[in-house]
Amino acid sequence: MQDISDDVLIKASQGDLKSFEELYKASAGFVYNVALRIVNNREDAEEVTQEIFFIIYHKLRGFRFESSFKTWIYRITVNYSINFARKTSITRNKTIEYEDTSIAGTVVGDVQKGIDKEHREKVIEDLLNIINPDQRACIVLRNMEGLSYEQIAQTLKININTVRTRLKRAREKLLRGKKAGGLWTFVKNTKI
Amino acid sequence: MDICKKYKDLILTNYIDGEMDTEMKQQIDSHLLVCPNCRRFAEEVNHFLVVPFKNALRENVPEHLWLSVKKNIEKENRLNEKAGNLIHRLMESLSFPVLAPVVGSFVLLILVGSLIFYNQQMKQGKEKEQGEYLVYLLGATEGSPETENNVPETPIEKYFL
Repeated sequence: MQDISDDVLIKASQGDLKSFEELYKASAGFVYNVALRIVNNREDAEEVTQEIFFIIYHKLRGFRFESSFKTWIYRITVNYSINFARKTSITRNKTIEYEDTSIAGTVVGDVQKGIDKEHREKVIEDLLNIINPDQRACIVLRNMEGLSYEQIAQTLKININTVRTRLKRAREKLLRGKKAGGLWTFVKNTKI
Repeated sequence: MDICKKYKDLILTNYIDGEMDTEMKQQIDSHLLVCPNCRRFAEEVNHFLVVPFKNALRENVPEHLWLSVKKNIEKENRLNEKAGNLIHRLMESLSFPVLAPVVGSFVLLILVGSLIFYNQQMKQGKEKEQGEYLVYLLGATEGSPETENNVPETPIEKYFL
């Protein structure tokens, strides 16, 4: 996420739309990508991103400059995305079952055609579908956004040991997915 | 606890995430040199669980998103402005130069009227009470016809009284 000056933040918090646009441009990439990985669906990620910026616009008036703006925006993004993903998890689980069985047959053939962006994205999407939204948030913040355990704990307002436990369980679950067959074969063959 | 199990737990978290002190890292590194099973596990974890996420492409934010956000904010601002204007107009119509003297006079009139009415009520009540008391006093000194009837008539009354 790009740095945002205090001046822009103050003006945006006073309702200045031009400054808010600057703030949006500096943070939209982060918000959209984190939301996309946690809700794991493009349409949902767009909806979530819009909602998050609407929330930020309102909450900015009460933002205390004591805490880091980056941590604040991380927290809003992750919490909103987790809640959204939880709400839609029932539908999502049904989709996973369908995808797990379909991958084994189709993907190996695809690998022979070459690895492209779409396949790589499919791997990430299917891996993230195996774990729950809380675990997804930890994996995304650690492996994709490069946050330390301490920063993840601060963002999610949880204990550092909880961060470790969530990461461990998520990875164990992903390893168990190895035995599920298709998906793992695909990950192995894609040599990411 | 099995040493391999202990190290595998650490490999799955702190070791691959680089959240480990040097001493512990050296211990695990030394173990990996002599334990092919744990070494394979560490390689697998890194290759399948870390690298795919690290190399994931960052998506560009769709252009239309800002327009939707902006539209929602502007729509809400317009609504707030309308509500604000309505309240403002209401406050203005009640403001001092126009209606305040009229409202003030009306309130004063009601206050004075109710004060006069209350005083009259109090006065009437007191006069009535005083009259009743005078009647009672007069009755007590002159004697009432009832006292004459108190003379015992029957033998039993005579006996007791």
